[in-house]
Amino acid sequence: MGGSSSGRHGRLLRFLLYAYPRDFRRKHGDEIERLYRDVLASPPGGRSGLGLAWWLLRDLAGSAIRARGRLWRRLPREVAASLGTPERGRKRAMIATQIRRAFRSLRRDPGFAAVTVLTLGLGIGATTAIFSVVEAVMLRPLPYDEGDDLVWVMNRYLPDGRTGSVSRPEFWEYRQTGETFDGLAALTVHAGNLTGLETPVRLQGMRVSPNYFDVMRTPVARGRSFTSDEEAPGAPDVVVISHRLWRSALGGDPDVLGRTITVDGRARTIVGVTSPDHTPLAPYLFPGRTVDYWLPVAIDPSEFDAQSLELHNLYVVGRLADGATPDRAERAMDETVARLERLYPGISEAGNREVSVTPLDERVAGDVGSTLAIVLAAVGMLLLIACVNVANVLLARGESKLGDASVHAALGAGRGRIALHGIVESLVIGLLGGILGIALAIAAQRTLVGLAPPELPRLDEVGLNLRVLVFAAGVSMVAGLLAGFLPSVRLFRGDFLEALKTGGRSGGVGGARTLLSRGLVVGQVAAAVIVASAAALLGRTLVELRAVDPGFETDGLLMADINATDARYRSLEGVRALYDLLLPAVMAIPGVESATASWQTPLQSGMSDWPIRTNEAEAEWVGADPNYVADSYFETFGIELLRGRTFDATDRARAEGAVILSETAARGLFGDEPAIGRLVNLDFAEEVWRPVVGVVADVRARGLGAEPRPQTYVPISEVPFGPIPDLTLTVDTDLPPDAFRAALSDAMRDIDPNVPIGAVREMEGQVAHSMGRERFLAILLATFAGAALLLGAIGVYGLLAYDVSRRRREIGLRIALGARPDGMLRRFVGRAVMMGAAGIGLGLLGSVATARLLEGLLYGVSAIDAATLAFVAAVVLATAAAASFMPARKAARVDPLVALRED
Amino acid sequence: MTDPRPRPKPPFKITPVVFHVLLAMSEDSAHGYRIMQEIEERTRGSIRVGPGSLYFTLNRLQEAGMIRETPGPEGDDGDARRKYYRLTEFGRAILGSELEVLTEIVELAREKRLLRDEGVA
Repeated sequence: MGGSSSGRHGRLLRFLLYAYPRDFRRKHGDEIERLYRDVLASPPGGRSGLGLAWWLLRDLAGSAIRARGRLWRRLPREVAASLGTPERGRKRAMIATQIRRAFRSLRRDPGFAAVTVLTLGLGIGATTAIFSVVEAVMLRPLPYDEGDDLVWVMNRYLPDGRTGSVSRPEFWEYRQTGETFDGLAALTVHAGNLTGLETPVRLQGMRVSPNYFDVMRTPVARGRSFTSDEEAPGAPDVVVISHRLWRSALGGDPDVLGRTITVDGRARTIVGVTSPDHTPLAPYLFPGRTVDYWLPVAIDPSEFDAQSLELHNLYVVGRLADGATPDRAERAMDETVARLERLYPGISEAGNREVSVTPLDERVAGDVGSTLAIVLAAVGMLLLIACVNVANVLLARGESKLGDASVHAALGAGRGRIALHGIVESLVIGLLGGILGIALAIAAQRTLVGLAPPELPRLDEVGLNLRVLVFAAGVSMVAGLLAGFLPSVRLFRGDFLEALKTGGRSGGVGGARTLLSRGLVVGQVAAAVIVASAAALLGRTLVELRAVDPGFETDGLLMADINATDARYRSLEGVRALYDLLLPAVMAIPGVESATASWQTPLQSGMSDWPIRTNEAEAEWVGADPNYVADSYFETFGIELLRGRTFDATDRARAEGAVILSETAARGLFGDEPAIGRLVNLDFAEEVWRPVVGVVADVRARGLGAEPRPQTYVPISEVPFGPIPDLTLTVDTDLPPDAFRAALSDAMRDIDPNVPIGAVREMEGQVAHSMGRERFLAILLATFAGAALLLGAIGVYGLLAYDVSRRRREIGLRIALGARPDGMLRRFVGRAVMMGAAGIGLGLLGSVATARLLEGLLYGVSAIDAATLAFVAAVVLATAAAASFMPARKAARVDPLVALRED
Repeated sequence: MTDPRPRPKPPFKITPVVFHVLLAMSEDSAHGYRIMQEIEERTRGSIRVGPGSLYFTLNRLQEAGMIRETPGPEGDDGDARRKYYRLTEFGRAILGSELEVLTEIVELAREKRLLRDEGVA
């Protein structure tokens, strides 16, 4: 090793020594450096190379942390000591004085106060707003008496652990399991028309087992809930209505009990009205749903058969008995499952199923956790960045205040007292920032809720409550302390003697302070890079999703729900007659190019995974999503016909009907062989073999990001399980939704005034809706990324501006000695670029490390996408350079004559 | 066995590293590298103190008044630029009391015939 190499070592060693606190470094730095040289010259224990370097690094880190830890432990002790004798009154008066002083000093420097309070306020406001959503969606207990005991009960199928809803026979057995449950209630969503009033109203309700109101502990306010015999077949038709329905449709009639209303074409006697503050369960499970009536769910054990076992259409909510846990309840169900398998041999292979019991609030929060976790993490980063900015401002100010502090010290104030002042001041800044933040959070909440993806439950509960306020206060304190901690430590250790001698101008901590500030700015840039790359990746995802060909037209498609639930539509002939009249009438509306009706439409959640198979020997069942459509379906949606033909009148004439397969379904059943003319069964156990008449292109019915699923299409008139009350009418038109709805209502009135028309939706809206989560994340993260970049830029700018102003004399001297002004410019811009590059390096490492979090939410772009990360790096670097330009230009324009004459 | 004198109380926990650092200065003043080497030899490499940890310990010992800086010894093997440290009276007392504790333990072990090789003291 030559002299030059030891010189290199020397510089590296001296840099590493900055890990130690200043006093320690000054006292022992030289010796430690010499010791390093000795050790490097003759390593102990024959270590060498990496082993030696690792040992030295560990030693450095360990001792530096311990040395700093001692200092930081001393700080609170001395601060406490500065409060003087532990007489309570005196201590309180002392703190009050400090708080008054802090306010006074903020008033004296309004610019400083505004910048710091605004910065922290933005960070705290964003964090509080996001937290208020997290609180409502995930943390707030459900508003039911002892809601912690409520559980969600489902079938779980092994080995993959898939869960699903419950059939009537299964529910019948489950609720026989005593002890661990205080009660199990079945429920299913329902929708029906309330008729017999002036205009028919479409209502949403639920069918529930009679004990539902007991299990939920939500007694009705008037009348009664259901009795246990009301689930039996042939029981009188009764209904419990919501307080809202009672007030609106029934005008708050005081004699409402015993009155009859017609729901779904059946007269039903009102037996109960819920209380005004009743919270129905359905909106928690299916965001956006409302509940205006409850009907008893009919369960008839004499009808249990193979088919009813396969019809898994009940949800089950339960209340655990005292002391029972979901785990214990699951185990207690094992016996029930065994009984079920004995009763119905062949419903599943032995040991292939169990019962899943999960807390209801977990089921309600669902899988939105990851979405909110990402948002919360991003906003946390933003808050940290804001804290760093304030810390840097405080550091710079602390330096100029060191003069004051040293005078205080000379007059006998302890270091603890001086540090206390710094801490109180930053706490006051945090507090003011918190007040501003809460105001901002209130302002932002509405926008935030409007932006939220549709699957977020309980959004209407988002608001400011005590818990959110406590959170905001806590965050404000922590932010204040975080921002004020390092500056206070600096003040605590400031070299007062030196500061006193030089009048506070070069208070001794300058060099280390800039190093610390630079480190903070680097960290800040890194955090900004992490947030910005997440935002960019989600932005890319949105673009990729938008570019996906869904397999159908979205332009100009309008959809309306037709709810034909009257008695005359209880036969397939009745439904067919309705649509034979309606579709031509709709086609006759000027501006409508084509019209169709179907059970499902793309991008709407619906039934899925029905088993289909061919009649060939050893054919396997294949899962497919079923749809029942009018003849014009493929034309209206612009779905391409690949082979064969679409439906026509001949299909109706034939008894066995017809089926059209999507390409994926055809390939799944027949491989590469031709599908047309082959026979397919898709009607559960019934032996109906439908000929395949056509194969159409795949559609992405489950979301633009989801691969196309196998799909079957059968004419509406051939629904195997009877007529479907809710069909969707879809038209291709250039009419605006309102105009179309008016025209449609007119047309419908002529055909049947008792059929209500639901809201008219645009397919484009449906597409946007299906990307709700991605859009929510992309917009929020982009906002945070913008704020993070701005704050980071302010950080870089502030540091350099301060640097330039502090070193005007030096710069002036250099220019006087012949340094070129543009060299000065380059020097300062270069410094910002270096800090930016270091931060980008760290930030990219952070992005790669956190990529896993994002993976499940991205589409068409990898979580570690080189192009995106490079783009973010370039933007951040450009921002850093731009932020440095003003201070750098100022440096270049320093007039040596003026600067050198300055005091 | 019983000692009527109260033992001096160490201001912080005497860890093996602290103990060996004190021991390395018991005969003569020493500089950092000497202390490192001495500990390495005495413990046959089982305790190895790095530069940072060593000065962290020396700093604490100095603040606690157990060692103090001292001019280096005259002569060939003295290196005037290095900082030398020696034990103060207090430091020596602490070291002594630590050694007494260890001796008591060894004696106890010997009484109970727990030591394998009786010859080693």
